[in-house]
Amino acid sequence: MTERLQDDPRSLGGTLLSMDVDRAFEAIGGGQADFDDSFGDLSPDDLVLLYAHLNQKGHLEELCAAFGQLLAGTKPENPIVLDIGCGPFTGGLALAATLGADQCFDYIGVDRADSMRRLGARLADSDLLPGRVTTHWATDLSSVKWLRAPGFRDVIVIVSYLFASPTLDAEMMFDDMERLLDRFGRGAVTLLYTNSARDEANLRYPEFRRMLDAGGFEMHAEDRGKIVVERRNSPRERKLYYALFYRPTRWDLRLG
Amino acid sequence: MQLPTYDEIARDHKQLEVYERPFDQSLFVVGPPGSGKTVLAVHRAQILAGAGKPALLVTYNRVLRRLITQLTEGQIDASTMHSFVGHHYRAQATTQVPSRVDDEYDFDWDGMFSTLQKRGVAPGAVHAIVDEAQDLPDSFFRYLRDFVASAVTVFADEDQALRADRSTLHDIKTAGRFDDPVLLGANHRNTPEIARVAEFFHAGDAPVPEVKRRRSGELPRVQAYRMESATALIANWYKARGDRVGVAVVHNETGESLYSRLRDRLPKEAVRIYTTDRKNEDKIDLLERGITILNVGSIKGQEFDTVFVMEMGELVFHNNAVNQRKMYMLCARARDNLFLMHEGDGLPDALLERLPGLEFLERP
Repeated sequence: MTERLQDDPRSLGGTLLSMDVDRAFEAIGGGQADFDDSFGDLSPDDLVLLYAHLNQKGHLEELCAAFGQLLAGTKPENPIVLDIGCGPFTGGLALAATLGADQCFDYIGVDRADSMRRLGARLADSDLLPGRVTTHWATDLSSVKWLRAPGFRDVIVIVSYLFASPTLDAEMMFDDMERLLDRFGRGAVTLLYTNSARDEANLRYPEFRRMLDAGGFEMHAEDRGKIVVERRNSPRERKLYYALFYRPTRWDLRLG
Repeated sequence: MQLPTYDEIARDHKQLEVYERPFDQSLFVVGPPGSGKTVLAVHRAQILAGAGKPALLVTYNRVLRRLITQLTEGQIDASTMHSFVGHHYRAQATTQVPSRVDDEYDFDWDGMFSTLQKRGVAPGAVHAIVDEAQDLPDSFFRYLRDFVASAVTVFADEDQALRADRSTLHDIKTAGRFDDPVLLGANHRNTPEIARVAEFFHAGDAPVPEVKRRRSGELPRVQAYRMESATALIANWYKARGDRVGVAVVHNETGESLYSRLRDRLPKEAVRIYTTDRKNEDKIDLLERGITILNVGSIKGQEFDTVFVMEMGELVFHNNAVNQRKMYMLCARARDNLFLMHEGDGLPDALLERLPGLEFLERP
């Protein structure tokens, strides 16, 4: 990804598509830009490349470290992975790297930006992916096409930096997520929340946590802290807000 | 940041409720194909019998009753619903079961409830266990709760129901005054390849169970046939494999024709057929190797190593909710090998479009 950016003829003299780093951050709106809109001469696909270079790497490192801790022992077998606000396949890459080449999973990437999903699909089809992953892409949770019968497969939900979006409707997102989880079936759900450590990025998190609690999710970790990630083979600390929730397999069928 | 491991958060959530529910309590269990409904029903009846407590086991059809007799080596006596209600009602009301003039099996439940209430009949200290409950009328569960048993255990899967007027899970819950059902989540019967084809026909809200067996490497197969070629295929398969082969037919005449041809071709082998006209279920050995021909209604609840689903095109072309559920149920009868058999000289595109793709279903 970085090579593609550096090889672009516009990236002369160490610039990022003719821009210095500050201007590039401005172009992607700190990760919250409309990535289907152009910025000056930059196309949506240019903006996503900038996002991948400036933001995704860090998010990827965090998720790799988090999954490394979570999946240190037993790994869920053939899970369904739901990455809400997936960006360019960030959670899928991190999980594939953690699970290794012999593990397969269904990955559902949900992102409102077409350009994010386009780059995500390219990454999913690339040789970066060691495992056997079936990908599905959707603009929002309510339009996810899931044709398999409901079953008991384990589900991993990734909510990474989604709550940094100022336009997020947490209640609608939770309701749509629950409806989709019901379509997956009754399997155990592990939900990993990561976000910027800034207060304003987590304003709606307490509301989300209450809904999770009411929906039968137990909280197993929550902190505003630091995570040690690997960058160029050396440890480095990143600040983040994180939480881990788990809802066990539901063996009852609510008939009303 | 320090996250707990998956081992730490996911432990201690195994499914125990069905096995641990006290035997004096009622229980409603939803069990998809291969989840062990019949085995659990028998297990519960055996434990009760072992503790000296009376239990009665009610099944959907006579072949399933036969299977239970064989599984328990005659220790557990099972009845079909019609047989049980007939005997029980006559004993309590000292009169015949009221039914519709044109259908002796269509009971006048309201009339029966009224008569038994007037006679002050109350449930006894018996535990009733019902298998394949979705194909029984919901009034039967009220009958059990009000007049027969102090506790009732019901196993059901509405996604396999054979009748348009099936009892839904909600109907059963309401009529039998049950709590919400417990789900059985493991399929111990089918190979993953067979389960995937069965799942193609699944419709409904109850989840399909997690397949516990390993891949066999043998895909289910779709095959066109005429009677002579089907007879040769089934006979040769049986000679080569020698396992328990089930042949499901839509029409009894097809079953009789196959039976006659297979008997001619395999005179020394166990080839058997059950039909409601023959009422010969007690002469059929369902646990031994052989070829068993059953119609769609009679094969319900059974399992075979290999299953041939004859006249499959009829069910797939007449695509409605009942036929879809029948296909789901029929595919799930097979443990190791499954053949979907279409009568004709070839497999028309219109048929193949309604079946799982090449990666799931092998074609000639």
